[in-house]
Amino acid sequence: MTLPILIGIVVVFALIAIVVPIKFMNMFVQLDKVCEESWSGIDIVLRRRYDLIPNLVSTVKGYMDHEKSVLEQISKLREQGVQSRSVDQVMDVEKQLAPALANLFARAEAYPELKASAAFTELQRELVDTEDRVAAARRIYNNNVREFNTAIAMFPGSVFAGGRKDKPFFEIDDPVARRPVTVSFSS
Amino acid sequence: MWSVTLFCGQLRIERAADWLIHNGSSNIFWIVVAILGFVGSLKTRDALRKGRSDEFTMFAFNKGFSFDRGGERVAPMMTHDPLLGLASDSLLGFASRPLHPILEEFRFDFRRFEWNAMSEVRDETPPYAQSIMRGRDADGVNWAIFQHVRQNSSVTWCLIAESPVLLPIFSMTPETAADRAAKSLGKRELQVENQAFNNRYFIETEEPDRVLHLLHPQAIDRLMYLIPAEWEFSPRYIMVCLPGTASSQNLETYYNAIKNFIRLIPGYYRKDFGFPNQT
Repeated sequence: MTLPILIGIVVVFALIAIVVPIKFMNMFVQLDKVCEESWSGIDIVLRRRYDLIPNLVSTVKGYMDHEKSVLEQISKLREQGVQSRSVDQVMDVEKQLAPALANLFARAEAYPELKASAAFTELQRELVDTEDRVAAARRIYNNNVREFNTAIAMFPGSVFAGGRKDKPFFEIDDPVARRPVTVSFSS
Repeated sequence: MWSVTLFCGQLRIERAADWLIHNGSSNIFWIVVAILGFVGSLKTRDALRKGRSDEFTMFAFNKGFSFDRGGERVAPMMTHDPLLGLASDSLLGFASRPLHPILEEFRFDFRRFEWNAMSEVRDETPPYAQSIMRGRDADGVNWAIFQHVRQNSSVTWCLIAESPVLLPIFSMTPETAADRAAKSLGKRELQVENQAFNNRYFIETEEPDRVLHLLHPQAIDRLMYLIPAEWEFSPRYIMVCLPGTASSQNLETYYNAIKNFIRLIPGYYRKDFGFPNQT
């Protein structure tokens, strides 16, 4: 084997040894940023919901005197939600807030005057809309986290992952998933 | 030469007559049976074809759609293509006829209907459409349902519905062994939170975030009830492809599946991406 060929082989291997880690490092950074971005997507829709809750509480207060504890619980959870920053904290609040809101709407069924109120109906519609947005944002975040976690766990990415750790999924009891499916047999 | 041919012909007739005399009338009986069987099978095939055609006519009329039973075999439109001069038909002196209007209409929306100059240069047989149903249903959704026949004679039923919202471009096809192998080697596909669904369908898209707005748990639940079919989404249309042997009941099932998919598009998505003057 002549010297130029040997030098050529060494150069090619050296290039691969430089380029491949750079490619993987950049991929990890990119996926990390995508996860951050999708987390901010969740944050935006959650803030939107936190903004709607005071209006809901003030609208309902006049009609539902006997449900003070439910309203207080919702207000308290909202406060906690506004202050929480990490995925775990937000998840904790969400696990309680979503059922509390569902409970409030269930109890509202017993108050015909409240149900007839246009403001309440509008708020309810807005909140359901926001729940759907939260669910979609959560799916997007989880999908991006799955991509990231798979990339750092799968070979050959795992070789270059360094100290990168799995990101937590945003898992809550999804009220959208629990909503009954309407079946229509009409053609 | 002619006299030799005539002589051979006479010889054959004479031999056939001898053969019939020597082998008795039982052979004649079997020949008649064979002919009758052949004619019968042709008649039955025609009757079945007519029956199926009636079945699809009923399907179309129940929906209020028009139905063109006859097929029209036409060449693709080449007028906008710089390689027009190279088209084999043109070289032979036959001008290319325009692509069937329905294939032309969806040519840029779905990969399935792509047809270009190179296809004709390669001397491929142009695709055509037959059994075309068109119309607007009671919910105001515009439909085009037809059989797409390709050069290899593969026939596919295509059900296309106009979407009331701007859709992301994506395809959802039944997962094959090749897809699974590609996945294990690192090919990326969109995954949802339902593993059974992930195993059943292979989802390809450049806009995963927008697709996840549409593939919510309820929509996935509905899709899981169906036998997997090819789904393709363009910004304006939803298409499901079924094998050419599909019955009108199959069409009905997927017609309802598309309608349900549209019905389950979240309200906020309609608000954000809805077309004006759409329900």
